[in-house]
Amino acid sequence: MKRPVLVAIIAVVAAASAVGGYMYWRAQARVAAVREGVPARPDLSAWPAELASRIDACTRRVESGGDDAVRALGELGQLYHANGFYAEASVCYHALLRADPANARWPHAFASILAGYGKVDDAIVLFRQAADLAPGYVPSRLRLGDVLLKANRLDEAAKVYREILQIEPRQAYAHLGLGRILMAQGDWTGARDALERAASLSNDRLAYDLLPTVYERLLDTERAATLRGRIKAAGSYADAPDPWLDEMMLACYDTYRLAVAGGAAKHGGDRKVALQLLERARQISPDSAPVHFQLGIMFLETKEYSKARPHLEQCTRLAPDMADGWIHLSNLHATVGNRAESERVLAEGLARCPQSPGLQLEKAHRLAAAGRTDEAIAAYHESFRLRPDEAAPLFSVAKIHFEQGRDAEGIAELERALQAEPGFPPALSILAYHAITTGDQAGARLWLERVRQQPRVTRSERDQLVKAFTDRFGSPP
Amino acid sequence: MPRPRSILPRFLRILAVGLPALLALAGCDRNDRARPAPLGARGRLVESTGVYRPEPIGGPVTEHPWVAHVTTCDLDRDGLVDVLACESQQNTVLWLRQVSRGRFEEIVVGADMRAPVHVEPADMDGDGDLDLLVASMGFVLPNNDRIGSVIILENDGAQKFAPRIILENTARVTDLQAADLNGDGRLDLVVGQFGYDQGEVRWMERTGPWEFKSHLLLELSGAINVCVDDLTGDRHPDIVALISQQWEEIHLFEGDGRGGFKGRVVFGSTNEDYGSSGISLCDLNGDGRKDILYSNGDGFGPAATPGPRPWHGVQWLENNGGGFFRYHRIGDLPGAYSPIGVDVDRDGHTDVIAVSAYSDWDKKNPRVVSMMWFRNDGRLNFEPRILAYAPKDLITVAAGDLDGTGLPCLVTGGFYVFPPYSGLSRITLWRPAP
Repeated sequence: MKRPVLVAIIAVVAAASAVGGYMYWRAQARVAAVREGVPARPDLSAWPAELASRIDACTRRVESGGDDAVRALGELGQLYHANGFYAEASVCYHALLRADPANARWPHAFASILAGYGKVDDAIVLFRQAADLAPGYVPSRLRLGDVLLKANRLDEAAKVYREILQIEPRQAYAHLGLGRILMAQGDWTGARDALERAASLSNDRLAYDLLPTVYERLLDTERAATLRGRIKAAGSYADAPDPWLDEMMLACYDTYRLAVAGGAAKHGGDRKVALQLLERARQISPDSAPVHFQLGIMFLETKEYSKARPHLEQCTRLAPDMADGWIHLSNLHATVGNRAESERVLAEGLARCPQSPGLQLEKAHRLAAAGRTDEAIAAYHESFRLRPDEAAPLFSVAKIHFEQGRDAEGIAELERALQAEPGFPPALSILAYHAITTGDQAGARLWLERVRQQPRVTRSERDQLVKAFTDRFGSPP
Repeated sequence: MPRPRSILPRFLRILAVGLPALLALAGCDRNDRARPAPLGARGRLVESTGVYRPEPIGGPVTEHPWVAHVTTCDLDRDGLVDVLACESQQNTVLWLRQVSRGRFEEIVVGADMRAPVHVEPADMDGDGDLDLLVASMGFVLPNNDRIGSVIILENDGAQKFAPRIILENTARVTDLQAADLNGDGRLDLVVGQFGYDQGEVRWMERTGPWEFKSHLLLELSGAINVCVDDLTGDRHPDIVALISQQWEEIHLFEGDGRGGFKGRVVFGSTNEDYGSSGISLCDLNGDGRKDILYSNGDGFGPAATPGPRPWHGVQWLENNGGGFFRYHRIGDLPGAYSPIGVDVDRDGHTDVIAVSAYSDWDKKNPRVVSMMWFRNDGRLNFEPRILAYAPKDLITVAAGDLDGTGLPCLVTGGFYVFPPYSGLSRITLWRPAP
């Protein structure tokens, strides 16, 4: 054999061996990397045995180094993540970034944990990876925009939000993010447009809280006041849906976390997911009164009384000291026309929870409706004594006094109500009207000023009061 | 005729150089360049319940107390450290005067305050006695009405206080601090306003003896705390504000010493349920710069009962100078509130104390930690040490040398918004055990 040919053969064999060896080394390194992704098992003694068993099974599959080791590590990470073991989950995800580098779920899930703890620089890197790997998965891009915003990298965040809007023009959270950036940059007109879009696309769940400020900056005080006056306390923001993370919760064994997630899903308008999560919570902890309560309330809201009733009954059985369970069960019976049972439940609730202001209030309402006004007043006062920072019981007492022509006593109750709850709109309006009708011009002016400060007094009510003042005193206040 | 050049040597050269390079390149995992570290492991809890001895001070527990804030100061300047407190349900500001060593007398210094949630001593009129700044929410439970107010209780020198309303009909006020922000020699105010859907952070420029002019710094709901200090090292006071609700951000407003402020976010979590609950300033690493201690433990809603989250805990933002901060986790504490820096064991290293606002309302665990000491080993590793399981549901803690021994005592306030109403406290003094 000629020497050059021999050398060539040797070279090729050497190269092939090197590549083969390298591939073997890589495979071993990957197995090692996957194994390194198994965190020390936390104390699971207080958890359902099924969780420990699933974690152990995943761990064994990872450590076997078999074909599905990477998949098992992914499952392990998600199990830890779903159950709030974030340190352990992040160890898994850290390893998966190397072991399964083409899968966008791992950088996304890892970034979500880190971003949740405020580690925004790390989260930016990972959300970018996830967005590159899964360009169609909008939540990764949204989160990237959000973390850039938190890191004060406003131009980059705006670019990401605009990219999202090119893919999905009706993405309310991207409009919200842009709106916040424009606010920070002082572009109030741009912010208004973006936030109005976010509000309209989310059925007013988003941006409603920022818009009054923007309107005020643009001197549109009327619209600002209208929005401010819409509700006593909305707090209706809900996080953007994130199916990759949301579906993980179905592997959660923590009843309380499931209840929180169910509440959040309901708050965000996803009733189906909320019911799924609460149902899982119920299966895990059939004796959890708060879970039955939440389920009962969900069914009450959709007027599914036959479904709500067993949950509320179970709630009162499991936690007879939980007054809200009795109140809602009693009201349910009243709503479906079962008056006697409603009264019985209310009485039992009061016997079990005599210190409940809500039950006392309910009792007072019923006594008032039955015309037993003295007893009603006593019950209203008891409710107020038990919860002295709410004006509603005293307002009800005032109404009784007015109906009986005892105006002075009614006024005194309203004044007490305002000490408890200074902006209570009906009390403000009535006291203003009373001052006008009794010719107390200075007092009327003071009350009208307080009415003016309270956006929850409607525009038409305010106008009527101003008209009444003008008619009575000959000039506007 | 020259022999045609064989390509073999070149091939071998390419192989010799290229293969290792190729292998090296392939071996260099692209993800390694961008592979952030996992979260640190949780610290092992150490029982230290014998370190402090609790003792109720002031009035007895009636109903279920709402002590939203406590702080310590020698209000009457008699050499004995006193306690100030806000009872938000009784609408009172309280002075727990230490009349003699270890004996406290409770005096209402502010009545009809409408949900006071923060009291801060400061000599606002320069007459040598301490006046009291009071943040009044108007109503503690969720409410977006403009029912907040800023009140100064003016001290007549004999600890008789006259209320002066500085700001009213405004978004619910949660915190306020006094500082000369524009260098005119007069104390101005910084005000944090939670509101509910709309809130604010503002500074109020002193324009007269009791007159102030407002300057808005931020219009976001959820302000919980404001702190003032020179955080950027330019010798001008800066402002830090903690914003909760869905924002979960800490904002720094860099002051120019003339009343100008430039704001930006120095921390933000994208977890809308992070539960920001309190900040305070202290130089934790002893580098001469104030750092930010920060707790997240607010777990009200959206479940039927309030409760802890796995991410609740305490952290610090290391001040790296120039307005830059670096986040460090200190440790987990479900329901964490009111983080303060205090050298508990007098080893020269500032430790961190925080309280917990929740008992376990899900009734799974009767032994829920209500106060935690994160012991600093001097290298900024914090070992979580349990100081107390009871009383439960503490929302505020302050430290001070109330015994005159040089050892820090602690004072806590109990805040109970949810049954079961058992294991209650109002104001508790925690003395170091001998």
